[in-house]
Amino acid sequence: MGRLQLDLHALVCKNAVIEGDVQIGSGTVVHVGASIIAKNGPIIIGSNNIICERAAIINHHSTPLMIGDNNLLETDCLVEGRGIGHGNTIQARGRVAGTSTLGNNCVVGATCTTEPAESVPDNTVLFGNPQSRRLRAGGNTEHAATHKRHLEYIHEMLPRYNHIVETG
Amino acid sequence: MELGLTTYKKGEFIETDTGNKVSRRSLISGSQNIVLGGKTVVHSRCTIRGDLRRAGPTHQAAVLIGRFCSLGEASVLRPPYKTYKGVFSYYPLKIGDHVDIGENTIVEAASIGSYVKIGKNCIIGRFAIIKECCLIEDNTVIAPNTVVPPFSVVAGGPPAQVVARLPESTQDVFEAQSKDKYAKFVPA
Repeated sequence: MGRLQLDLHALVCKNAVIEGDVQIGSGTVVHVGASIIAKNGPIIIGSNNIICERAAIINHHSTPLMIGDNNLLETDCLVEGRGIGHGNTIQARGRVAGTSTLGNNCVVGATCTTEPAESVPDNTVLFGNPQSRRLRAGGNTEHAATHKRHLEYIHEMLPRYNHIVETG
Repeated sequence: MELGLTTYKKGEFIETDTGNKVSRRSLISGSQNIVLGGKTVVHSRCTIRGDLRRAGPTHQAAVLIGRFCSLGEASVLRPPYKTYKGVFSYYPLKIGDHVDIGENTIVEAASIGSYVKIGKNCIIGRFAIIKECCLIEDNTVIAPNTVVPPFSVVAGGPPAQVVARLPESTQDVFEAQSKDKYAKFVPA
């Protein structure tokens, strides 16, 4: 295991796989069985993200992979790319592939994937099969409120049933 | 359809008094909140999140699974969550009897009825309800809050659609298949 920097208030399960140079910010939750692998460059994760089981964040590039704040990465999603902004949701099996970046408040729907090298603009929603995209209407205040409560719940419940990596 | 014997190394599975077989390589959190009905097989790398249970002082189980179920390799069972009247909570995930869940499938349903077969690589969305005697084909993505009526064949997606109906004999057929599958899952 390489250099791992955990904020005092980060919640990382012991059987999550973390390799290489990884920095995890305040309030971020990494569920059991998630993997964060920095192969070349470092991975820098902001605050208040939720990373679910079997989600994979892999940095193949030499530049840092930055993940902003308040993102929700659901089960079995894959983030390669160069980074994602704030308030995004990547649903089950969603992929940020190749060298793509994601803006803010985007949603990558279940099984959807970005193009191998693109910058997805803010408020984009990728959905459906065949895959299509549109702009998000009405902002994401509802999602943000749920995300805040979700974090509060997980910070209370997760340490009761799982082994957590000691911080500080 | 006759299946041959499926064998496993004796040490790999833990067998309980009621005949549940749970792989040592499965990933189970909050086991005190998980109920297995008996004669259910949990294969390797299967993840069950019993820790995500209802908020507040309840003794309700988080994941309830019936008899003669099979949870495939690398499947994920995760209770669904929502905010109701301003309170965030996870809600129980209930699975009936004779339910076969394929490899790599993600289940976040509210309830799955009895005699249901779910294929490989499926995603069952949050708070979906699958009624009795259904067949979910491989690679299906069922959208959140969907209700799948009894005797449906569901495929495609996202979002998945009903593509055919199952005959009335489905219950007997699926029951026989799941019992056969359990009986033929034996230590080498």
